[in-house]
Amino acid sequence: MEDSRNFIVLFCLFLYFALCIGVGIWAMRRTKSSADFFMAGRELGIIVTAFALFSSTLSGFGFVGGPGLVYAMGTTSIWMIVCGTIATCFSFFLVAKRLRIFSEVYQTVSLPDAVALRYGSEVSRFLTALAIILGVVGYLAAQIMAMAVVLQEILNGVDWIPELSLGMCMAISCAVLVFYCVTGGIIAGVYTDVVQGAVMMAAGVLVLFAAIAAVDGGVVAGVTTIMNDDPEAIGPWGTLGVMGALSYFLLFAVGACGQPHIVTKLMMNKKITDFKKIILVSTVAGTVAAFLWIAIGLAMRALVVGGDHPELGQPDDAAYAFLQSYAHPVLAGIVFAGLFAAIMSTADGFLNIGAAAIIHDIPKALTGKPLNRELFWARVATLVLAVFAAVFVRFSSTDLVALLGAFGWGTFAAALVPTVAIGFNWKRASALAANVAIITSLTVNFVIEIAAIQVPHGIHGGAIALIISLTLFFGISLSTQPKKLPEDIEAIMDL
Amino acid sequence: MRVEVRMKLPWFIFIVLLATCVVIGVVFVTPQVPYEDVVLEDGTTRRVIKSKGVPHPDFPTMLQGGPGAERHSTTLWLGWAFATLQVIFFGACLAMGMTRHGSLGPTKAPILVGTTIHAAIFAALILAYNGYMHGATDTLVLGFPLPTALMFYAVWTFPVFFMVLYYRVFDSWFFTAEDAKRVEEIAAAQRQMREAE
Repeated sequence: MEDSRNFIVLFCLFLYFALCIGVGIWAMRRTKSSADFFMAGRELGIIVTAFALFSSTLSGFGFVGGPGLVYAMGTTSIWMIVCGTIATCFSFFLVAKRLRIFSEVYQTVSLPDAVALRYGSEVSRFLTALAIILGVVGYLAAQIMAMAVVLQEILNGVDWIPELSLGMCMAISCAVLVFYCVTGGIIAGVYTDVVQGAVMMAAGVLVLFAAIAAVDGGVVAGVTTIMNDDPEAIGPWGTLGVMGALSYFLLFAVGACGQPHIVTKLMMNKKITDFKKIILVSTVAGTVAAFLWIAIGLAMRALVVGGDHPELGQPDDAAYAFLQSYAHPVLAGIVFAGLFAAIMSTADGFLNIGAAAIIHDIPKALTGKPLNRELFWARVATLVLAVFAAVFVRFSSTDLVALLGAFGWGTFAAALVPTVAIGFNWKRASALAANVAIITSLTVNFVIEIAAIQVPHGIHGGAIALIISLTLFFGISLSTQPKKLPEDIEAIMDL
Repeated sequence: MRVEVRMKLPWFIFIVLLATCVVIGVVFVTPQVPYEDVVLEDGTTRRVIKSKGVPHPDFPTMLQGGPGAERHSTTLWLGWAFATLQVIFFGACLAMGMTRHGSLGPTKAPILVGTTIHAAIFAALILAYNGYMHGATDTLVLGFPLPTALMFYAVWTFPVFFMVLYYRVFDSWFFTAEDAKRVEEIAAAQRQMREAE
């Protein structure tokens, strides 16, 4: 039974890999310029954009780390999920329309492109690109490590496959990722996102039912078991407490519209008027997929506390243990494919924006012009970035990778929310304020992470950085004389 | 009205952010309880904070929250202030996104009402938790304790109100047919400039 289960899981994964490669080959034919490679030719429809948005948001962390956090800390980490609806409002009210107009009018191919135009500052472009590269390396490294660990677990579970090292599993998963990202650029990225999103949605619904069935007595019995053991674990703040939980809420609600791999996708749809439908589709799809995070985490905590399942070796084993013990083999196969989908859809977004920062934004900020043969160099940069991240994660300490992964979301949020979400809606926002906000956010996040500063009452360091950078951004802009904007930018800001 | 929104909204957001900084500052100097002073081998003592969760006595891979009333005795109302300021910040930022030529137009009342309800949901959550942490754990609402149910079923779902607003005013206010035409004009002018270069 165990053998056939592992074989089914492996077969689902193989199918998924084959699909990614197929999409990569198909997308290669449609990628004829750097605008296609980075912006998908601004031709995406409602479903593709909506699915690309939510599947990029819900990374491997959502599938592995999320249930693990619920298992370990109770409801605390669920604040990262329940903020999803207000986070989507933020992205669409503040960012979507304006970025899409900039993209159409100026043919921008990256977020730093739009930032440079809005603020009339190459320094702002450089700092935005720098923040993106720093965040991307950490995030990408964490995603690659997650892919390798999961693939190793699956392959080593099949008897007739010889034991594979972590490095070999890293090479296999990176090869698939790099193939479709290099050949098809963001077109391959967003179309695989559609498949990935669909798999994640199916996984979310099926796992919810499987989790309810796994706990004897269903939701009420599971909740009661957890409550009898520790009421705080199933209270609204979880084990971390009120301030920690609410700091997660702030960081993830506001921070989403500063994540470059997410907001860049708001520049790729065909028609601006589609946004009113994209917001609804993306929210429904994201909510359904998020059930997996909550259902597995709470079910595993209830099962372990109730004595129906042995204690896990570590919290991150929650999803794997649940799927192996309580899910039908086909469901387990779908969810493992969904897990890879979640990791890869985030990783391909990072590869793409990282490559844009390296071959488009940094050269443009330093020399005033982009590289010749941008499409060729975009493919080279994608390959080099993936290899660099893989080598980096292979030879770094696990702590460093985890640190950089955790650093990513907070960095992007604190650096880019003021600059992008606020600055594109407020004419008075100045380049100085944007630059100070980015530098401050990088400094505060790095100091808190590297010095391992324990912020009192469990408040997330990224939330502190976000509040500081936002306050400075408003304070500096309000205290300096407003600068006259170029006529065309002024006209766009009036729309 | 136009001048008011243009001038006052950023100042209002700035003040909300300053107030948030004050709340966080107060939280920083608020004692973290419960704690335990552990005597180390070298004779020195180390303070172990227990308000952020402690290892589960039977399952070390899990944390327990411990006594809710004790650990939230100093922070629950600061948490309410923090949540309320967040909600006001959200509402003000959404208003900033909906502002056209210095006016909120038809979105003013819905954003105000929505933000007020959103703040009320958090107030209800804090009040419900205040009872929960003092032992009122008997009632389950749709499978969860009342404050947790509010988190799942109200905090998570309420922003759909703003999404419906976005959908409803999109064509008439947020991005009208005239706006689309204007974008085309600006884009055409930029295209001409690029070709001329």
